[in-house]
Amino acid sequence: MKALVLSGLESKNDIYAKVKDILEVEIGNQSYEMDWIDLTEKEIEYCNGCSHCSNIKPGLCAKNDDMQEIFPLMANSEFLIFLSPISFGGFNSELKKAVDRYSALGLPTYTIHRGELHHPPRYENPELFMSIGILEKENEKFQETFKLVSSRIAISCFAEREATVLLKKEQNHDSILTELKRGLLEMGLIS
Amino acid sequence: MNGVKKVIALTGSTRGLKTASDSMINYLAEKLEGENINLKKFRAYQVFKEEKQIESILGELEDSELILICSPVYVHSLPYPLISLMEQMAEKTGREFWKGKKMVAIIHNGYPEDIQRKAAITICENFAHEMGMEWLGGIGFGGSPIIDGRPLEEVGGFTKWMRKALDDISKSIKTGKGISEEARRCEKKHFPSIPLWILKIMLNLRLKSNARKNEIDLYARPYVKDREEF
Repeated sequence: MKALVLSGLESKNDIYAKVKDILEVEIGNQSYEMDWIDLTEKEIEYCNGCSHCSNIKPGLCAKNDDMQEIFPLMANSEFLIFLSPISFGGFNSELKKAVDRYSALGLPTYTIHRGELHHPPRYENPELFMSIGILEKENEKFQETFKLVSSRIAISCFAEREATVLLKKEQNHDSILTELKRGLLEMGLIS
Repeated sequence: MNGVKKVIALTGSTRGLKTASDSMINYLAEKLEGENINLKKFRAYQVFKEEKQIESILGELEDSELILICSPVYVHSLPYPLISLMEQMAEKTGREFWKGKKMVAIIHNGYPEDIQRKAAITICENFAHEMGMEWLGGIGFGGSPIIDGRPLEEVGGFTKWMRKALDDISKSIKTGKGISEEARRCEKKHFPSIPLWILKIMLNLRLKSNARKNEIDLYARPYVKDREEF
């Protein structure tokens, strides 16, 4: 099984290595093969809503950049993880540049999912979706918003189970481990 | 007393020069012009990579009283160029810069449900609070692809309640007050009350008919065929 981490977090951040090490072990223990993409090192253009992926060559993004190597990984992951510093309650721009290109992985058609109108997934939906947000400082409103954004994306990508993990920049290894395990437990991945 | 003389509008759409965001901003600019309020528009995607352009926006913001964000929703948030622009503006300034300024957001997409715009509006609200601005409120409209960059009046009946809401927002901007109950009422009336299952059938029929006409496979899987083959 495949797990994919899209990281908008710069590797120079202290918390980066801690989160990466823990995820590698904990997700590896559940028989997932994990791919880790550092988006800060990728050349990714903004989605300009050209409709190529919906109306011209459905499913194929017209932009010839590093997303072309990320799309197959996204399409084939059972477990999708978004990692990002929290920017005004949402994902930061580094992660957002990749997330905005997600429409190539959806069908242009519509379906009713959880009582709302959505585009169905073009490939098999990820079973699990986890968002990990890094807070610079305590901010209740940012936390609430981040949970909202995460749950909305989980619905949009038709994930079967989801979890949101909120971490603080200065958190130590053990407390990060506790929080990440709580997320995995919430999704029923560990008991 | 009119406290607002200059408004800076930031649009989030990345689709070019004729977008629903432009249509809404142009409509508002015309209303505000009648009140002697100057509205200057910047498209995030045209400026977010250029240091000089960002400095120029900050220069314009310095003597403005209100920032207006008008953006489509991209994956439950604001589009990447707009997020990036907001991050960079925040990095280059302190709360002192934004003190006394007000902010309004107009967020739109194709979906009928308010929840599909909620996170993007909240992110705007968070930006306003983080920068120390006064948040006057955010409003959301579904069905915006129908506008297709046309003047709102030209679109006709579909934008009737949107225009009424924007008329009211222009008054809020003029007086520097929050988005009114009247604008909220118009926001609620904007999207026609069509059962989702009917809307779904209508949209899919149009998509499938266009696909047949253009001989395209809507269900293609160009990146991989099956998970097992990966």
